[in-house]
Amino acid sequence: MIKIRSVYTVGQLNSYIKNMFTQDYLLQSLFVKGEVSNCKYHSSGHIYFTLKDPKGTVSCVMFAGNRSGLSFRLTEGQQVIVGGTVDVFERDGKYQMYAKQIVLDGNGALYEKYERLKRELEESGMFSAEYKRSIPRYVTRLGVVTADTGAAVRDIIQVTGRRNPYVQVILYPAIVQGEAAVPSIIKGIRALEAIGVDVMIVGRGGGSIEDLWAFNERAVAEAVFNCSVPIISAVGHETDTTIIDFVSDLRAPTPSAAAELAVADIREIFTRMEACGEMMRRLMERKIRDERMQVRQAELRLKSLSPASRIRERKMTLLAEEEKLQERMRRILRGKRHELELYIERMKGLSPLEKLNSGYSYVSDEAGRNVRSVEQVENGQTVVIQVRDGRIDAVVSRVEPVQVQQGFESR
Amino acid sequence: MNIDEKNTENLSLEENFERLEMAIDNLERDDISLEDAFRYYSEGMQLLKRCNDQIDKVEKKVLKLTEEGMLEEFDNGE
Repeated sequence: MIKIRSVYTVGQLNSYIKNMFTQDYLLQSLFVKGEVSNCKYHSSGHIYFTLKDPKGTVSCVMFAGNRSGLSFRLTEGQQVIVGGTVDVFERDGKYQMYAKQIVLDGNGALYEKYERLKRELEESGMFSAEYKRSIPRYVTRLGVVTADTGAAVRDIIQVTGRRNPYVQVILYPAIVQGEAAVPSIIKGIRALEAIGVDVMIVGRGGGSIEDLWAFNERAVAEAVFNCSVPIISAVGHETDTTIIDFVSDLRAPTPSAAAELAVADIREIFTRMEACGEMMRRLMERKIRDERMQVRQAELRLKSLSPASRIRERKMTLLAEEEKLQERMRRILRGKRHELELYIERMKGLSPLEKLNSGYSYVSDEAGRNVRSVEQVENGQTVVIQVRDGRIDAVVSRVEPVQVQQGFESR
Repeated sequence: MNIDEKNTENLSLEENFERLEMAIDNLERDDISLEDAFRYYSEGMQLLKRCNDQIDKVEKKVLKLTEEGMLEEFDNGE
């Protein structure tokens, strides 16, 4: 009978084994070579495949985030070297390789050489941004170091001609692959530097890693680094990265992209010139308009302050005042006249003539004093009686006082 | 600032453009005097003319540099 000391769950077992893997130094970074089979590019961007050799197989996955470590299309039957880590996939209780880099076997040695040189040059500071020369914006002489046949030179000439046909392209027909490539490329860079160009494109069209190899050589990298003319590197396709891409002043993904980067579009230059001219004319016109307006304003102010204008102004004030005065005078006269009419009416009511007209008469003594009382006259005295149409001199024949009631007289 | 005082004869197209933009920046200032405005304007126009003159409007044939350092016309087989 089996003696059970302790029982573990499956999860516990798998996580125990996973832990053993993660603690293993070798499994954290190793290269494995084999043949690709069951290769699947998943829609998520991950690549699943199996690596096999006559003795066995191992599952591999390259996550989408690591795809930069693969510069070709992975297909069945390829002999490859996979660099990465080995880890346990706990769900399935399986271990698999997580690929970070995949290179074709046979290129393995070259790849290592590339990595070593890249590391060395990087440490020596040759990739440093401070050494990068800026690419002039408007070049007139463009040097090209590439093969005189093939797509690269054709693309460069075509793009340059389209963007700016006034740029002088000078080609150094270099050998770009094989044994003679390295000295030929170096000679080309130096020859174009000597003859004088504003910027240089150094590169070639796409090819296998061996085809592109000259651009991974230290001597070529140093020639690029030491060149006093700014260099745009353009080797192969977008995905190919060579050593000179790191030392060049600018890396172009392809030769035609290099020409785009090197040569400014002539139409843009003309447009820019037109815009500058237009801008200056507009600004100058505005300035003149502003100044003219200021002069006009000053002129107006000056005029308003001149003696003639002040006299005119006073005259105007005077006229206005006079007018006001006259108006006031007229108003006063009108008022007085009206008042007078009222007086006349009242006077009319008070006039003795009116009383005489209605039958009353006015009696006075010879001295002209109004006779208001019997006591003022005596018999035989002459009095004057005024009536409507004349006077009557009369002699008093009798005087007889009448008892007048108090209050009546005051009425 | 005083771009008129510097020799502009041997400047590149790019440098002339920079100077041109500088003249425009100066012209844009509100506090600039009329005299200065005229000065920057005529400078700018001169620079513009120079830029234009600098563009050699002749279409170029592609040249090939030979082993012997000679330049000859490149026939790219078109």
